Amino acid sequence: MRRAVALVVVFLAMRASADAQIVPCSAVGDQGSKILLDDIVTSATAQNLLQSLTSRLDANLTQIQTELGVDLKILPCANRRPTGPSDFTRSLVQELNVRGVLMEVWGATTEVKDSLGRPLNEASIGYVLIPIRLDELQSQNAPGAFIIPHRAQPSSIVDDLLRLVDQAGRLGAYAALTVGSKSLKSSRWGEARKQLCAAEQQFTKLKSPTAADTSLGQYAKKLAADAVTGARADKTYTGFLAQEGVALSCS
Amino acid sequence: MLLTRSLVALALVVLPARALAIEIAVPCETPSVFSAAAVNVVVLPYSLPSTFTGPSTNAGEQIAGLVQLETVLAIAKFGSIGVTQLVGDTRRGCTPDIVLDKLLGRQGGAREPMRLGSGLILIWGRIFQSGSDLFLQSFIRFLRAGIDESVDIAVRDRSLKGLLSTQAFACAPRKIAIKDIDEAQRQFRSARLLYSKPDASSPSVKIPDGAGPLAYWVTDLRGEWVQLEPMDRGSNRKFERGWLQVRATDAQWSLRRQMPELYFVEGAAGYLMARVRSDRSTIVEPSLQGADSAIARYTDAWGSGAVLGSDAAAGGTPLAVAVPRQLRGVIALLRGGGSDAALTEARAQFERAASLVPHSTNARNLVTIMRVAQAYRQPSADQPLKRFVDEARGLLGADPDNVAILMNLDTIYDLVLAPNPAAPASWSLSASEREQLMKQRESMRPLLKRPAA
Repeated sequence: MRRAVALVVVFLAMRASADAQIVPCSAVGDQGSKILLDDIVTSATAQNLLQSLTSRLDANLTQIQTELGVDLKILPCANRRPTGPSDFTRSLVQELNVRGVLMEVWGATTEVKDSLGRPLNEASIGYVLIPIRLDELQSQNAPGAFIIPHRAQPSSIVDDLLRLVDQAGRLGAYAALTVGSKSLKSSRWGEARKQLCAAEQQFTKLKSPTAADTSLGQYAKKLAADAVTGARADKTYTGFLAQEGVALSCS
Repeated sequence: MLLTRSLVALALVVLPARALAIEIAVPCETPSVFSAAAVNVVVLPYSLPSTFTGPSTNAGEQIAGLVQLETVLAIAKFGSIGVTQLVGDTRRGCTPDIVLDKLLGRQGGAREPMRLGSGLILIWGRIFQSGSDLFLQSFIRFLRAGIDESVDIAVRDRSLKGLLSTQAFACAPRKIAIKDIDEAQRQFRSARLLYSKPDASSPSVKIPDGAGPLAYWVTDLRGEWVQLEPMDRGSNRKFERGWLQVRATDAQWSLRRQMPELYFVEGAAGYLMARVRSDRSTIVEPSLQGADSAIARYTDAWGSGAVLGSDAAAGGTPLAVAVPRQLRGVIALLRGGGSDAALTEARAQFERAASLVPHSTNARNLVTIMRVAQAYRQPSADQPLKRFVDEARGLLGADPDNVAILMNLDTIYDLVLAPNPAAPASWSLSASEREQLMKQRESMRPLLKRPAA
C-alpha cells in the first residue's frame, strides 16, 4: 500500500525537462532483495489508462511478492521518472545491483496518433532487469532495459484497458529470471537453476511475447545451462547438478 | 445443503462448547489468534488507493469485516475455529508479511501467537478504481505453523512425497459495481447490531465503532444468525451478548457471489482442520468432505466477474486455480486412503493443475508420483517403471535442491531395481541398464544425507 501512495498520478503539464532527471531513490537503502516501482506519469487525455496501469502494476507486483517464494520487497521511488533505458548506465546499475535491486519498473501514459492521424492512448511500461542489464552493458547479451508500449482506442472500456496493461505473467517471468541470474552470479547453483528453468518455461507461456521477451526467454535457457556447467566446475558443490548425465536443458 | 446442515450439527453437538470464537477490530500492530483453536482465519483490511473516490474511505475495513462474518458462517461447521478481523493502515505496516511474522513468533508484537502445528488462513486484498469502475482482488495464504503441506503415497514399502506449488496466491481481480460497495456497507452496518433474539424485529444495540478489539464466543448458529457471548481476553473491553445477523435472509446480494474465493477459504479451513485434527476420525472425514465440496464450488465459480477473463493461464492468476485443484487431489488421496479410485481422481486434478503452471516442478512432481504409483500397482507393458527414472531426474535437474523430488527419485530407483514378479517382460532390465541405474542410485545417496545448498 505504501507504494500505492507513491504512485503519484497526476502530473499535468509537469513534463518539463526537469522531469527527465532520474532522481535517487531512498528505498534502495532497504536491506534485502527488492523491486522498485517508480512514478507513473500521464498526459491529461489518458486518465483512464493511467488508473488501469497504476492499479494493475501495483497488484501485479503484490502477486509476484506473494507467489515467487523468495523474500522480496516492493518499494516505491517517489518522484523518480526514468526517461528510458539509457538512464540506466553501468555505474547506476552496478550500484542498484550491489543494493539488492532485482528490477525497476516505471510507466507513462500519453496520447499518440496512429498512421492515419487518429488519436490513441498509449501506456508505456519501462523495465530494467538489473542483473540482465549488467550483462547487457558488459557483453551485449539480451536486453536488460526496455519499454513496452500498449495502445488502446480512447473509447476502450476499462475491462479492456486492464487486460491490455496487465503484466502478471510477464513480471513473473522477469522476476524469476532476475532472481535466477543473481543466484547464478553468487554461485548458488541450485536456486539459480530452479528460477532460470521456471523463467524459461514462463516466457514460453506469455500470451503476447515481445521481441525482448523472446530474447530474454532464450537468455534464461542459456543461463540455466550455465548453472549446470558452473556447478560441475565448482569443486565445492556436491549437489545434484554435479551428477553425471544431468542435461543442460531444463526439459 | 444436507451436508452443510449435518456438518453444522456435528460441530455443535460433538465439539465442546466454546469451540468457535471471533474477534473484531484487532489493531494490526498487535495481531492475535485464538491459540487454542485448531484453525484460525485472520482477515486484514482491504487496501484502497490514496486517490480512491468511491463511496466510502472505510470500504476496505468494511469489506474485511464482512469477509470475516461470511467466513464464520461458512466454517463454523468445522469446529475449533477462531476468526479475527484486523484493522489498521495498510500503508503503515498492516501488511500480510509483518502480520504473519508476528503470528508465527518470528518477530515480537503478537498479542496471542499461533501454536506449532495449528492452521492459519490469512486473507488480504485491495480495492482499486479505474474511472467509475471498482475492482477487488484478494490474496490468500494458508498454512500449518512449522509444516509444509504435503501428501505421501505408499508404493510397496516405500512412499512418494508431493508438495503443493505454493501456499499463497493472488486471486483473480474482479469487477464490482458501486452498488455492491453500497450493499456491502449496508450489510456491514446491519452486521454490527446485536439483537436479543435471532429476529430482526427484536431489540438491538449497536456494537460501537472504534471500541477496540471485542472478542466473543460463538455459542449458537441458526441460519444466518450467530449468537455471541462476550469473552474476557484480559482487557476490560467487553460488550453485551446477543445475536448477530451475518446477512439478511432476504438479501439478493451475496458477498460470496462477488468473491467466490470465499469458497476456497472455506475449503482450506476444512482441509487444515482435517490435518490438524488427524487423530480424530470423527472430525477428519466430515472436514475433508466439506473442504472438497467448497473447493469444487470455488473452481466452478472462480471466473465469475474475473475482469481478466476466465482462462486462468492467460488471465495471469493460474496459481489461483492450480493450487485449489492440487488441494482437491490431496483431499481425494486423504479420503480414499490411497485407493486406486483416489489415485485416479487425484491424478486428474494434478494433471489439470500442472497444465496451468508447467513452470512449477512441484506441480509436475505431483503428476509423476501418481503415474509411478499407478504403474506399479497395475503393471502394463507400455508403462515400464524405468521410464520414470528419467522423468524424475528431469524434474530434479530443473529444481536440484528440491528434497521431496530427490527422495522420490531414490524411491523410484529402488522400485525399478527390485524384482517385481507381477511385471510384464518389458519391465525387466538388461545387465547394463541395471548396472547403470545402480551406479546412479549409489552416486545420489550422499545427497539424501546432505541435500545441496
